[in-house]
Amino acid sequence: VNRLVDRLAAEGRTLVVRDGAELDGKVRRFCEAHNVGVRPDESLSTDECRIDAGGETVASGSVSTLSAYVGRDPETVGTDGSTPQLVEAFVGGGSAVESWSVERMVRLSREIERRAWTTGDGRLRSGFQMLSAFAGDTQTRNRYVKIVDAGVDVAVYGVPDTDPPDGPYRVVTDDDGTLADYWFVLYDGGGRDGATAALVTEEVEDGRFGGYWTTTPSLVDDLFELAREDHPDLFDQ
Amino acid sequence: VDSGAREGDRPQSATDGAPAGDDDRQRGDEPHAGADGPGLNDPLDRLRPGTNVVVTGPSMVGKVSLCYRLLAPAADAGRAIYVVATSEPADRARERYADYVSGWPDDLAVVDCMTRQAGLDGAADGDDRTWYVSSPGDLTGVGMAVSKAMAATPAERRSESRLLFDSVSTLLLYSDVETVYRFLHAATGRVQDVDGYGLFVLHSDALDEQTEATVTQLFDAVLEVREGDETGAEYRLSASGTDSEDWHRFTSGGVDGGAEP
Repeated sequence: VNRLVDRLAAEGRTLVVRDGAELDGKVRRFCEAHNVGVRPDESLSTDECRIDAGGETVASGSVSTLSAYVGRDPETVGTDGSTPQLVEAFVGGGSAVESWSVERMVRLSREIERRAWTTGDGRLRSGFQMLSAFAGDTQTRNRYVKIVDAGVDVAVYGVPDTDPPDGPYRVVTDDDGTLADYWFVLYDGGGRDGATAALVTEEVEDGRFGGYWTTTPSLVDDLFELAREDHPDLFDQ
Repeated sequence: VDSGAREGDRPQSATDGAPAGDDDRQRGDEPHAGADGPGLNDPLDRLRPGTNVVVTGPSMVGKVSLCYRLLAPAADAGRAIYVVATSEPADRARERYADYVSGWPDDLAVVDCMTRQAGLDGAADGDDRTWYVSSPGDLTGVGMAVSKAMAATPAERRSESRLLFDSVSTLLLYSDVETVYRFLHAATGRVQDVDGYGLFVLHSDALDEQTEATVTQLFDAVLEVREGDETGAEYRLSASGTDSEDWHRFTSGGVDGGAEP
């Protein structure tokens, strides 16, 4: 699964500025929300900045424009103005999950599950670490029944620490504990590009998760492919 | 586009033979009669224009399809309809709209926060009824797009228009609650300014009480949706200063009558 995390990490974008410590909080949070790291480059002037991805510059602009845009008072945002090219360049690739709590992970997992349910097609693959986390949660099981009923091919994964629950979903027992440290939800979108989403994380400390999530179709395709290559016994279909 | 001419082309009412109406009348005759079909009972009717409603409940109970259904009466009356889609592309929003609303899905104004974020190509430059935002984390962009969508409709259609925001939950994945609160304060203000109705979806799963309370305090009314018995889900409307309504059943499903969420 680490290869999946690495695949998403490789998509990382970086905001390059003269001095990252000078960035205001709003710009910093905007970077975090979009998985954009910050890197210093002393050859830039204090107001110059650019977005690099894969060793190339994809957009450049000024720190003051970026700061003014993300910090605009929503009450006064009107029909004037456009989105700076630099802001457009923030998206793409994946978003980082850094030491997220279980609660926040649940919210993101629901977002992906809702996409599957709404689309009513395609494949959903969800790793629960321990099977008891799925089997012991009636609400979650009911939701997964709904997702199957909507027309989605569903498989859930977990170390068999309890009897697999009966249901219309496929339960894959992770007998070797290969996936025991990972919380993941992969949805291939059922052929709808706008519906794909994937979350791949590792439990970095007790109850805290780190990794990435993405809605980029080509990336999600790659993740399914990598999962099949690395774990043919678990992701054979 | 001459919106006046477009309006002349739209069906004048839900009873013009639109399949949605036919289908739901049939469904009303089934044993679970008493469930509300589209247009039969418009809970927003008892609210003043300029009211913002937060639509809460767990995931996958049919909140969004109920909301699309609640767009129908205003659409049939020729009012403008706006959808802010945070996690699906504009064409998908139009498909859902077409499931519940007679008339032209093309007529729907959509703010699409998904297409560019997913790196999808196509007509991402937007047109006079579709506005693209780089991501659900770009709240300045969302605010501008909503303003532009509203400005693009004639004033007489903005009054008593309906805006569906699907969903606040997605915003909370990208921005902290204070930032989302400030954004929503402005967005609900815009709905007020045009004497419209706002429907803001908030999936209550795994949302801590403080976040939920912070968000819901911005709204004049709460539309709760919950799982009913096997015949479908139920909703209940509570407006500030009035008693809660009773629970009403509603059937999910679009014109095909299936279990489409």
